[in-house]
Formats: sequence, structure tokens, C-alpha cells
Amino acid sequence: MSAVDRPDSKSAQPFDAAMSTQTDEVVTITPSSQTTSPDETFSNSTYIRRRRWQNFGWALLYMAPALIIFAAFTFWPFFQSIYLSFFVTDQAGQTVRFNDVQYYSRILNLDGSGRTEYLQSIWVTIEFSLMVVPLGIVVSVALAVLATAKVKIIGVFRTIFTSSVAISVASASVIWALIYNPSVKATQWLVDALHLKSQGLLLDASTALPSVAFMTIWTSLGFNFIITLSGIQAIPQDLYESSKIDGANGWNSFRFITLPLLTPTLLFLFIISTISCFQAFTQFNVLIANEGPDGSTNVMVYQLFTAFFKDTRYGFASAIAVVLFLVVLVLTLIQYRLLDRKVHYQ
Amino acid sequence: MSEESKKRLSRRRFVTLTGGALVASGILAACGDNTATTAPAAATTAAGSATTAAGSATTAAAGATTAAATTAAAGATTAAAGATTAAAPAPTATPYPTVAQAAGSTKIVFWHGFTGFNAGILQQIVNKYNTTQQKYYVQTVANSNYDDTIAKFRTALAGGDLPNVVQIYDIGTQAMIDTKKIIPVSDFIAKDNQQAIVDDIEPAVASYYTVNKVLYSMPLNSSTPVMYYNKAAFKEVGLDPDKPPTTFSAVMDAAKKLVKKDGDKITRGGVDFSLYGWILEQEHAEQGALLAEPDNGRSGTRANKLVFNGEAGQTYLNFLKSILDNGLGRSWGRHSGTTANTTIASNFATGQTAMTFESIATLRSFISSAASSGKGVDVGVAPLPKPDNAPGGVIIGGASIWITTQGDANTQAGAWDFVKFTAQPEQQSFFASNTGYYPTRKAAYNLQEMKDALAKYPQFQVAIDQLHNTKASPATAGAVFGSFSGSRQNVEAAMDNFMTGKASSAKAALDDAANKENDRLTEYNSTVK
Repeated sequence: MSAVDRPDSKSAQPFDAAMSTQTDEVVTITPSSQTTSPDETFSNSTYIRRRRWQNFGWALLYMAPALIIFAAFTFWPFFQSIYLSFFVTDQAGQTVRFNDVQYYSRILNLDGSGRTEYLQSIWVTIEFSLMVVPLGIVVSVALAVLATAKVKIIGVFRTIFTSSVAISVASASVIWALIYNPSVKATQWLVDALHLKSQGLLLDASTALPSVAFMTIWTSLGFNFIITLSGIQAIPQDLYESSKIDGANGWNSFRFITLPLLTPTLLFLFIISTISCFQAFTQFNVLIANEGPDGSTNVMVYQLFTAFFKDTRYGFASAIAVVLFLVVLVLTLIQYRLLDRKVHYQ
Repeated sequence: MSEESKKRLSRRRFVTLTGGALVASGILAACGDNTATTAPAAATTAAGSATTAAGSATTAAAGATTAAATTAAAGATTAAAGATTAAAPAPTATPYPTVAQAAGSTKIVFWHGFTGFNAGILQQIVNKYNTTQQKYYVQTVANSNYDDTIAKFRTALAGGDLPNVVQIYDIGTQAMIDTKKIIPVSDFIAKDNQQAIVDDIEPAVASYYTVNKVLYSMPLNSSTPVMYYNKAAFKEVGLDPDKPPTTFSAVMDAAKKLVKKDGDKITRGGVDFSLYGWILEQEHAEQGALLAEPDNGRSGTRANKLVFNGEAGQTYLNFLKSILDNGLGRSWGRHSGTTANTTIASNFATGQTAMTFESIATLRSFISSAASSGKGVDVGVAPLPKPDNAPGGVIIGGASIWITTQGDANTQAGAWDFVKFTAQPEQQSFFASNTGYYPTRKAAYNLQEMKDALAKYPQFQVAIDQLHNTKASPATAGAVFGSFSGSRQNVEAAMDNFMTGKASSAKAALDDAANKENDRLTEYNSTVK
């Protein structure tokens, strides 16, 4: 199956393209039927309808294993969260009374209570993403370009650059907890250089978040590097060859070939990294284990964790989760809208 | 091929490429040179999992599971961090071996929150129980800490698969009562005619776990905070190592002599501390002040208002702040944080901290790490300092064990049999002499094992005297309220805000915390029938 087989690909629905071969055969029938008599059209369309239902049934059957798992572990908890966010629960998580949208107005500080820490935590989460995502991508692009160099033991370097992908965030956090630990004194020089009043990088409101961000960039570097490198390797070599003939230097070929053709990969990385930043929890829990000095590392998922596990306010935790979901959804949509236009597809 | 379809197709290829890259990553890492071979299946999986990730974290329940897993990891981390720091004790990582279940015995499931060394000591007690009788068999389930134990218990409330016996920390008391899934040990004591046990329990300990005249759980391990000081440093600066300071102003005076600086930088803290909600509660008891009204929640009326923002709390916060402002010591951040404990422990053991406040339960590890650091630190223990004219008194901390409604009558009877066993003087003496917690039974002090421990570690006696000198009152009994287990988070945040100068005064900082905590308490109380 391919788009070339289609007499008029514009008339095909987008999802048809993703459907099975059978559907495509059906679609190719459609234009030819337009030239035939009304009777034939009618019988054809009922036939198509039947085939569609049949296909749908088969599709359901094939998707069933995944669907059941998704339904049980993603969709059901998701809707349960939305439901719970409107209720006050007891410590066992049973709903006690309807709470209207009070949890939401508390989170967004619309209830006049002056409790700004939840809005603050949304902002802290955004700040964290702003620190991690752009820098993480720039570094991985730089490394990936380096790793395409045609030198002898480049494989060794690629392995080194990739190595952090093999380390889980939890283990990486343990390593960095030691690095940042004041009694280990590995970062004492930085504490002294910055003239901090606190005893360690993670104990000062001004350096705690950047320290966690730095560690996160390091942790995600391996993954980012792999994606970027494979993106670069997918760019056809003949483009570079012809640019060389045109007299382009290294920078120009990077600026006008590598970068534009890498944009789909970068968009993918950008969105994935942003989402993972919004969901970041492990490093905060391992490195800091509270909201941080002056609440400076109080990310949304940490708030959620506190509300759920420490305070056993299931309803409130759910409301935070729903707000987090909406924030991520809106941001992802914005990123798609703004950046998709700048993306060059080959 | 039209432009439109070309683009659509390419977009699919984009997904395919990036998704395929995910799968190919492993190969790439290993081989170094390859072209990302792509499979459409891989692409859809990758794209699918990306969206799932977005969905799952946003559902509280799903997020919760991950959180639980990472907490466990975090617990392990702390232990790991401790082990690597120069002076911290090296707890035994491998669990103490268990004994096999005897045929025909009834199984009792026991959840506890100990790890490392303490878990091993507890397991030895359980093994002794399992080998000395054949009717019941106790199976231990270790959780990474007290917080996780109660969190797991709460999760099990909904699922229904509760343990038969569970160790819960002091501040979980009211919440446990409210679960309505526990049987007060008072009931078993009455049925089994065991009032003698209750009469012999350390009074301060018994009064902590007695709410409205009912003893709900059996205390297992109890402690109080003390001040640790380095006797060698006291000698060095001409202070009497046998007369440690006991009041705030005396501590400040001693700290002035003990502090060592390199320019502006403190190289030996006169008094170093963490921001610890537990100590703030203790300072309320020292000053005879309540944490919650009415009567710390002990007189039959449920606590409905938290008052830790009064004079008593402010006095303690101002004391800490003046240590910082006068350059006499350092704050190592919030106690719940991952580094505060290990840092202070290692600084104390290596002579970089002259005085600090911690639980007596850490005595043994302080002594052993001081010895292994080779810096000549001589561990001294003094009562927890109090404001100059305060009456004094401390609240016990630690944990107790609860019997649940899980299982049939025979199982519950077995649970009580085991709980009774742990409360015997022999077990209490074994546990106390090996850990640093108090024996909960007075009779334990008559046993040779305990006498030997006290002779070997005379510092222990200071803590015991401090406990015995405490006069019983609602203030020294400690507070019980349902939302206690999450409250130190906000209290420690308030302490931090005041130390960094974010909050203008101790009152402002504590008012803010009390406000937030009262909000939670009101909501909690409204959910209890």
C-alpha cells in the first residue's frame, strides 16, 4: 500500500492512512464508484459500511490485549482521579463528601485563602523545565555532531556519551546526592565561590533547583544523545556531498543541512523532555526529600506526592494531578502549534 | 505524489525514525556505528508509550505507585549515603536470617519499619518467639521506614489485606485509632489478665500510647531527644566536660568558646542542628506548653486546633536563629531532607561539631563512628537544653505495635501472644541494650544484660534520668491528632523560612505553618465519623 496507488489522496481521511491494507483497498474503490449508477453506489456503500464494521471488530480484537491493560491501568485511574478531585476522602481513600471545585480554587488561589504555594509549584515546575530542556537539547546536539566525526575510536566516545541512559534516575540521584552532600565536600568549592550562606548547594534556595536541573540534564543526556545522533545519521550523505561541492564549510553545512533536517527529531525531543520534566519526581525525592529550601524545589509532582502519601488527601492529590495533566496538555499543544511550522520534513 | 501526501508520509517517517531510534539505541550504544533500522511497529509503540506517560503521571493513583517505588529507593539512598560518608555507621545490609515455619502453626504477619541493624535485632526477637513455641509463626515484612509503613497500611485499608500486627510510629497513633481496623491491646490485657504488664510499663511511655484511658497499642521501641557533645572539645577550651550546659543561654555561652572559624567560615560548629519538627515539639513539653487544643487531644475530646505557633515555639526558633546570627553554629537544613542526618552525624564523629541535638536511639552509632573516625571525639550526652526558666520535661518518641482486626479469633489471639512476648522484660532488655532505645518495661533494668549495657554506655543513663524526671501532664504526654503524620513537613518548612530570612519573624513563620496545619486538621476531623 502506498499513497501513490490512490487516485486522489486528498479525499482520504487521515486515519485511513494509518489503517490496514484492507481499508485502503476499499478507499480505492470509492472514486471509481462515482462514475457508476446510483443503484450500484447504494449497494457499494452498504458493503463499505459492513466492511468497516467488520474491520473495526477485527481491529478491536487485535488491540484488545493493549486496550485492556490501558483501560485498567491508565484510563480507569485517570477518570477515577477526575472523579476523586471533587471529593473529600478519609485516610483509606473512601469518598466522604462532595467538595465541589474547592480543591481547584485552592490550587489556583481563587478562594481568597492567600495560599500561593500551589501556583508557586506550577511556576517552579516550569522553571525547572526551562533549565533542563533547552540546555539538555543543545548539549546533546553538540555531542551528537562531535560523535559523527570520522575518527578511529569514535565508537568508544559514542558509548561514553550514551552511558547515562543505562543509569536509572534513582541510581543517578544517589550518585548526585553524594556529590552534593556537604560532608563529601565535592562541591564545597562552588559553595565558597558563590558565597552561599547555606552549607550546601541543595540547602540554598538560589542553587537547589539549578543543582537538581544539572543532575537531570546529565541523566537525560544519554537518551537525548541517542535520538539526536540517529536523527543526524538519517540525513542523506549526498546532501553533505553536494554542499561540499558548493563550497560550504562545516558551520554552513550544520546550519543549513543538519539543523533543518534534524528539526523533526528536535521537536520530538523537545516535547518528550518537557513532559518528563513536568513528571520529574525521583530526583527531587532522593536529593531533597521535601519542598526544598524556601520551597524552591517544590515541583507539582512533589506536591502531589505529599498530598497523597503524607497528608492522605486523595481528593486534593487528584485535583493536583488533573491540573498537572491540563498544564502538560496545554503546553504540548502550544509546542506543536508553534514549532510544527518550523519543522522541516524531508 | 501530491505535496500533501508526501508530507503526511514523511511525518510518519519522522515518527518511525525517532521511535525506531529508541529501540535501536541499545544496539547503537554497543556497536558505535550503525544505521537506525526502523520498523513501523516500533514507531507506534514509541509514540504510544509517550502519550501514555503523559496520561499515567497525571492520575493520582498511577503516580502514587511510582512514588511508592521511588520512596523505597530514596530510603535505600539515605542508607547508602550514610554508609559512604566517612563517619556514618555501616548497618548490616543483609536481612537477618529467618527460621522456617513449623508445620501446623498459625501464621501471623507482622509489618515493621526498621531497616539495617535495627531490623536484624527485631528479627532475632521474632526468631526467638518462633523457636520457643510452635503454635504461631510470625512472618516479618520490612518496610523502608515508618512513613512507608503507615502509607502501606492505609493503602491496605482499601484493599483489605491488612497485616495482623503492625509497627506504627508515635505520631500515627490517632490516625490508627481512626482506621477502626485495630483492636486496642487494652481489650486483650483485660481478657488475658495481664494488667501487671501495663503497671510495669515506663509511665511516660504508657501515657503516650494511652488515649482517653485506653491503651491502644503496645510500645515496642521508645526514645527521647538529648544533646550530644564532644567532651574532648569541652576540655580543649576549658569547659568542664562533666557539666554540660542545660539551658539555651548556657548553650550559647559554651558555643562561643567551642566555635572555630577560618575567616568567616565555621570549621567547628559550637552547636550544629537540623530543622527538626520533633525537637520543636519537645521544646513545647520542656516549657509545659500544648501543641494542640484541648489538652493535646488526650482528654476524650478530639484535638481540633493546633497551637504550636505560641511563645514556646517562638522561643525555640529564636534560639536557633541567634546561633546562626552570632556565628556560633550551622544549620544543616531540614531533618526530613536526605543530607541533614548523615552530615551532622559525620561532622560530630569527626570533631567538626561540638554540640548537637538528636535522639538517644542514635547513641550507639554516634559512639562507634566517633571511635572509628580516630579524631579523638569523646561522646557525651546531656539532657535536651531548655529555656532558662522552663520547668523541663520531654515527650517520648519511637513506635508501638498494633493488633488489627485481620484474621479469625485464633489469629488475633496469636497476634496478642506475640505482642505480649515482645513486651516481656527479657525482649525489651535485649532490644534496648543492642540499639539505644529505652526498655519500655521498668523490670528490664533489673536484668543483667541491661545493667551491663548501662555500665558500658553510661551516657544512656542521662537519657533515662531525663525521662524519669519528666512530670506527667498533657504537655509531656505529647499531642495526638489525626493529621499528625504529615504535619512536620509544614513545621520544618516554617523553621527553614525563618532561618533563611524569608519569614520576618518566628511568629510569622509558625503562624503560617499553624494555619496550613489547622486547615488540614479540620478537613481530617470532618472525614472521621
